[in-house]
Amino acid sequence: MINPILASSALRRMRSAKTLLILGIYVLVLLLIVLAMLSPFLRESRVTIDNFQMGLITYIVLMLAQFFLIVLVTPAMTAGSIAGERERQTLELLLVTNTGSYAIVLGKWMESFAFIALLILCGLPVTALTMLPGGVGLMSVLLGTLFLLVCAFAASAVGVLCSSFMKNTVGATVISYIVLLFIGVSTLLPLFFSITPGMADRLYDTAKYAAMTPLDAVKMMPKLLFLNPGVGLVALVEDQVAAVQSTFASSQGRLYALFLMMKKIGYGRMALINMGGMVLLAEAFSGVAALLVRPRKVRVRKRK
Amino acid sequence: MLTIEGLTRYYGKFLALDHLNLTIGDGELHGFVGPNGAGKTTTMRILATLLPASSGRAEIDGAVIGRNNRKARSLVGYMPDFFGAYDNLKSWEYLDFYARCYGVGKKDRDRMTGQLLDLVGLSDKREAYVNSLSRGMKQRLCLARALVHDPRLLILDEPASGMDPRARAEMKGILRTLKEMGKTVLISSHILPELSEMCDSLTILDHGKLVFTGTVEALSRKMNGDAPLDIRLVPGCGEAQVENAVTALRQMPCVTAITEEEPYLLRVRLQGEEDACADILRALLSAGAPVHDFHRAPMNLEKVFMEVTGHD
Repeated sequence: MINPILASSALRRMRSAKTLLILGIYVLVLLLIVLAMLSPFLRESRVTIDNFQMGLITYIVLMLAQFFLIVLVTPAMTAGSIAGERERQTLELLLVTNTGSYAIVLGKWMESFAFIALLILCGLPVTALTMLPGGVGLMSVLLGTLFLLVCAFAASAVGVLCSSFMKNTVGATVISYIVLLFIGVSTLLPLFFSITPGMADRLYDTAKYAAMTPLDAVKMMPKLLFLNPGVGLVALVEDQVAAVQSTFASSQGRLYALFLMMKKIGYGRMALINMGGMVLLAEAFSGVAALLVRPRKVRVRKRK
Repeated sequence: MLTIEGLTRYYGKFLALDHLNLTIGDGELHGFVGPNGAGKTTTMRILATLLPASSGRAEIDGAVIGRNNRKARSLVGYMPDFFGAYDNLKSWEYLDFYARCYGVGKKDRDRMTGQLLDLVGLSDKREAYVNSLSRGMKQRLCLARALVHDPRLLILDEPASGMDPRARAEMKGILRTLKEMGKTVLISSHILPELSEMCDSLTILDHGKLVFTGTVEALSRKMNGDAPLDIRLVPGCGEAQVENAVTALRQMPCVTAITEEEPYLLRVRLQGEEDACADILRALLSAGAPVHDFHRAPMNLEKVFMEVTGHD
């Protein structure tokens, strides 16, 4: 049986005119970006090497735009999921039913995620336009969409988590943005503090680097970086476009070290590990949210 | 059906419910009365598994709250003192949604939804959106929601608050029907007369403490035992006659206080029951007091409530 909270929330969302409006605006923004960037190709419609570049760059820009749109839209769309129930005074009515707290959280989370997924899937035909000039394959578009879906899955879990303990939607939305920013920054910090000179030595020495196995690189990689969606996005783009690593080659800095580690692991594999990390993080967040939704035990205070 | 033993709840250091003991029988319509902040809602929220108790025990038909919450939830239908609504759902969808949350099967849901809308008089509003319903209709829909899983015990927290007289009468009619259906109902209000009309028994709470529990008759008997005696003398009988009556009353050991409420009306507070009243009447007649009317002033339930909860 479908989770009743998911089914009912989805029905109510799809009845709202706001839903169609958001979908329309999202697709329109993506379409404008693609049309603006591909306009030289659309005017000339000749197949050249420059066109391949144009397609690649448009794909990268579109991925980045969708990534940031999702990061912006998701908290606003999900933070009201449970806090909104609290504001409407319907949460208690759900808690007295036989639907457990995790089922309530899961229903609200999946409904919010389903809407963001709908946004991404509606953007898929627009993303597929980047294949027209050549240079970007169908697999790249599908993998990019999968990555965006995983990001939305994790970001919506953050929104639901914040929604589970905040009393109102506005507060939950603000806290969601702060938590997302904190996750983004804190999972990137090891890049500046955990890459030791010893590690850099192994990476920059050609012989040592060649002797290193992908598993060594996984062990060497600061683990928090596996949870950073930005790192995942870079790995994904690099896997498909192979255009960013060379930019940092001359600096031999921390970013170049990161790219070398990712290269050894395999950019595609790195993106997959990153997606796995985000899914696990999202599951953990939803579990905590279920604990926070449930009424808490009280300590007995003895009267003096 | 419901047994509560030593139920206590603190909010921080504030004691909201103080060792409440209560038993409600099967099929009983039990009123829960008390002023605001008496602990009625706290008790009901604990019974609805929404609030853990600080100590004590509550058991609903063998399901101990806090230990068998799942079983308890299937036995209890809870209607809070607010109306939680999804505005863009139709009436039947609203009931269907909660029935699904209780795990009611599709066939039963379809049948139950129609029956419940019929019970609460909203059959013609089946396809109407919840936000288009009046307050009274919403309250009735909320009551129907509490019944979607066919619970044995209904916990209704001030179901008639904010309703006009007609809607209140309709709500009373529905409650009587529920009683006929064999449901046990625990209903709260801060208006004692309202509950006394329909309840079999009552519990009065004040500042988290149990003040009274028993039948409505027992409550009236208890309070009328302390009711004063009103003695009206023939108007215009003269001051001397009144003085005689007062002197005769003062000589009675059972009389504790005498006040002249209005001309020729003496209000007497006494210790004792019918025998003491008979002695007083005999003494007055012996003293030649022209007694025109002699009765114990009945206390209405509003006064009983004030008396019991210690408010003026």
